[in-house]
Amino acid sequence: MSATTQTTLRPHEGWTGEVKTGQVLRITAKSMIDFNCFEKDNFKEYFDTARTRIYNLNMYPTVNHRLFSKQNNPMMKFIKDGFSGIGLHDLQSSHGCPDLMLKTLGTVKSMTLADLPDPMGLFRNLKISPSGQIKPSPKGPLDPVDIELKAEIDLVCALTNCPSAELSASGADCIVTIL
Amino acid sequence: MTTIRQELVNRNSGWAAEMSKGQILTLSARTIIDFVAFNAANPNSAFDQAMTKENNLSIYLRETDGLYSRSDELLMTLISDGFRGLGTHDLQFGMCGRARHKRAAEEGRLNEYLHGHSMKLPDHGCAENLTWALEDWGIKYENIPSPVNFFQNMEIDQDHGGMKRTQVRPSAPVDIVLRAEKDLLVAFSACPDMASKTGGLGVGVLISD
Repeated sequence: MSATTQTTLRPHEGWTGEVKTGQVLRITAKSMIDFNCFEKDNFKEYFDTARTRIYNLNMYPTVNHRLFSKQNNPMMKFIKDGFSGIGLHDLQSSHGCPDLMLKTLGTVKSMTLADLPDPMGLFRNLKISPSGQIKPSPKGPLDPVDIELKAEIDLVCALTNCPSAELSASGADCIVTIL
Repeated sequence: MTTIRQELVNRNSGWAAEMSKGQILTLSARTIIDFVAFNAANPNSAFDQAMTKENNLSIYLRETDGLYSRSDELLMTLISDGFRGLGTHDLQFGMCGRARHKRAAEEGRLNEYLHGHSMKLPDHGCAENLTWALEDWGIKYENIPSPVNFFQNMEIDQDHGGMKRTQVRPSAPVDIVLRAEKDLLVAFSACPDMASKTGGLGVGVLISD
């Protein structure tokens, strides 16, 4: 599979692009990335964290899980997870950099915070206790790893390179490739 | 205490009403309730599972926790939880409904629900109940947030993330008591609760001053 586009994002930069059915979005990174996607011609059909958790019966997205829309349709399949065995991606949290995501999406579709769906937080690695308490536990890979998501429908995807305040010293470039 | 409004909502039905700041909402039930809230002055400011979990630092909604909107407004406070010590309220799931049931049937996954492959699927669920209940306020399905699922006690593996439905429910109705921290539009669905032996029950609702 060859790359059709490749973009480097510095910390606190965002990216949006179309990913067609069957194409693979590769995110190569080691610090936190917030991710959203929308049906290309209908932003009312958006990636939904709750529908995704129900379908996969799992809180932490990883290989072989599918990302689902609010309307309960499959949008993407997680086909490679370079963070597996190191830490966990997150479906509990809100956007780390909501203004940046709104600005990024604003190049395609004007939105307010109320319209902005909750993200998939790559590399966020929360710790959850047996009693359900949430503790942020930032833990990036030492070197950038690949996350690959395969589009099941034509999409607009958006992501922000959003290192947490605790890891601001570890924020690093992220490479976004469409294969 | 003055009763503003009191009624029984039937199994697999929806309900919506406006509340003033400071009023109390009491839900009496032993079945899953999918509950949402909106700022009455700005219905775009709606209950959000993620912001609620972040503010409370918990994946469960517990007594004294707040219900928050995506813009971080405190909408309600859970002031009394009759399920405390018996089970937990869920903030992972969305609403059940036709689309969810259909996909589960097509993919042979009805065994994830208690009654399994032999059950008769309801022709609608919480997604439809909430959509119908909120029609008068012009709120469309895509703008209805994923709810608090009261009494949906889940078995969660916090290390690996796996989730399983359970049949843990109160043996008799208990009260969930919420205080409105703003003027609100509130709504809920009395879930068909296909994971439980009862298959869903009615919900008592009381708004009081």
